[in-house]
Amino acid sequence: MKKIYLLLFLFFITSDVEAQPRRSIFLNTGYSFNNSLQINNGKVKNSRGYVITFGGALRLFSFKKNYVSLGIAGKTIFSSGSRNGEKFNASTVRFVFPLRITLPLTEQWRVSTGFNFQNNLDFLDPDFRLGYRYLWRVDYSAGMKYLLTNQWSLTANADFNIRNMSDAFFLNDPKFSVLIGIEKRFHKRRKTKK
Amino acid sequence: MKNLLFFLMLTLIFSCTKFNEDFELLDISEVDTELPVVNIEVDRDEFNKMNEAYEEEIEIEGRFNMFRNGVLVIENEEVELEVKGGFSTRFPLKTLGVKFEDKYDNSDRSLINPSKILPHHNIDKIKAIRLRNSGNDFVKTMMKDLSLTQLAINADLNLDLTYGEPVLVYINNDFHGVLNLRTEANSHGMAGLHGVKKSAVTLAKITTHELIKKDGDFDRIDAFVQAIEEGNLNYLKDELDIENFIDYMIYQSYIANVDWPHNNAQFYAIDQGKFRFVLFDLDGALRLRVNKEPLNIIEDKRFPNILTDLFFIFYKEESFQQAFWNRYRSLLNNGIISYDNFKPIVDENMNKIYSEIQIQINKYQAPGTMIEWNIEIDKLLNLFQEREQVVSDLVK
Repeated sequence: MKKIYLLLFLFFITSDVEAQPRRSIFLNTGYSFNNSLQINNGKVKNSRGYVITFGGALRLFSFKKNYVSLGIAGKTIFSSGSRNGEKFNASTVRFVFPLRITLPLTEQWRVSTGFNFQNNLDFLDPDFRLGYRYLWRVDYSAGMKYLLTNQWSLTANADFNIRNMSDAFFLNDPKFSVLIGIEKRFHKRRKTKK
Repeated sequence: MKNLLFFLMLTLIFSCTKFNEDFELLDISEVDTELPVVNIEVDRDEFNKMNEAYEEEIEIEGRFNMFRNGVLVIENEEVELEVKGGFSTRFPLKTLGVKFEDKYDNSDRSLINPSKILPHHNIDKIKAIRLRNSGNDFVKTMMKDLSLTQLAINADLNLDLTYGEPVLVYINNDFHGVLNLRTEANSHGMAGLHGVKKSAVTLAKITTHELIKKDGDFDRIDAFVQAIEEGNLNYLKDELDIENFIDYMIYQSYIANVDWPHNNAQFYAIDQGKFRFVLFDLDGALRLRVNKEPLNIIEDKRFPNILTDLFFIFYKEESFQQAFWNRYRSLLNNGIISYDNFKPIVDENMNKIYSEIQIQINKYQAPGTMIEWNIEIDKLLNLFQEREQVVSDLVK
């Protein structure tokens, strides 16, 4: 699986030659949750969180009316839950690389699908040099986009983790999330002939 | 592009998690501990200076007292204290080396009382111990090194290792922290395990940056290292305890220790006996490389080191390969090294310090919260289970 991610990543990066650069920035917010978790033999209840993601994306290349983009974003998660009746909450910051393919449905509607590659490394950990095996998390993402104007659009996404990791990695950043947001696109200015 | 890189760096730097919880942590006055309690009397100024200037290797004098089940079992033993450790010396609760003026008579098990001792070991006389902060595991479980070492002891492996247990440590009657009291892995420790004088021990330590000749016959160490560099198999066969070497390499590669083999390795010999390797400081195990095959762990391409070289000199021989893999299979197939044997050890250690870790969190925020402690124990167990699966599949 790891090799497939790497190949996909390299494929899209090397395809940059054909790219028609178009940038965008986006802001998403939403709700995240876990279905059932068990930590050290203790059941975790009400494991959920609020997510805010802010970042930018670059169109790598397009074919017909579809295009592939790679982004970079900062993700903040405010999660909470309780284990054996003891409540806890956590604030988490991570960086995310969203890799998306966007397809037009109509003039104003777009659908997108892809993966979020996200770091799992905690720099507050004094021993972060040794890390854990799961330095990366991968979420599958599917979404819709409604174009308000040529520059602005509304977005909605559903993401869920697809890596097989132990529950301990999801307490601070739940497996599933539903996000809505806004996106601003920057088109390449074309020089007009005099 | 520059902006993107800047943003990436910024997000990487701030990539972190902070937990808070409602858990009401116990205070030291509320804990009725069943752990052994150590109280060391020292000059407080000297102790503080030793802790602050830990890189200067300052030694101070003190008096060592120990209670078991509320009964004073060791009284006013004269000791020398020194801060020990590598990276983990940066933690607020540091590892302390404790050296007794005379060898301590532990035949009544008052100082160290392990549940099991390997048949070729003796812990009746102890010159030095270590009050260890669990190394890099200090902010995590506080029990990884102890638990993995206990698994090796229970497995009856042909190893030399340390024996230990968690204790509450006081300095001048003030609570200092929860530390793991264990025997030494150095020349004092090996001399003690074999009931010989330290002068009989030749010992060298492999660290990330250098090979340190610690004690004994340095010419013999030089000759051994030279034989490794030259790939002189016949000489090495005469000098190395092969059965110990196989068990040592199997265990370290099984637990996927990332702070090894370029570091935390040492070999020793008693008099003219063969060189054996010592198992110690296992806090780097079960982390980044649990999905790697054993040979990949041993190969360690990051840091060239003589232990890797030594192994692959032997591994060229088919008879060694067979012996290595047969032993690996037998240990796994018989369930000697297994999750089923590891989990009870972790559970027992967890129960032992369940109250005391709360005092540690109260004082040092290490680990940060009880939920983080539970998360780290959960990761330890899950990664062991995963490792068991990976290695079992490969070895079969």
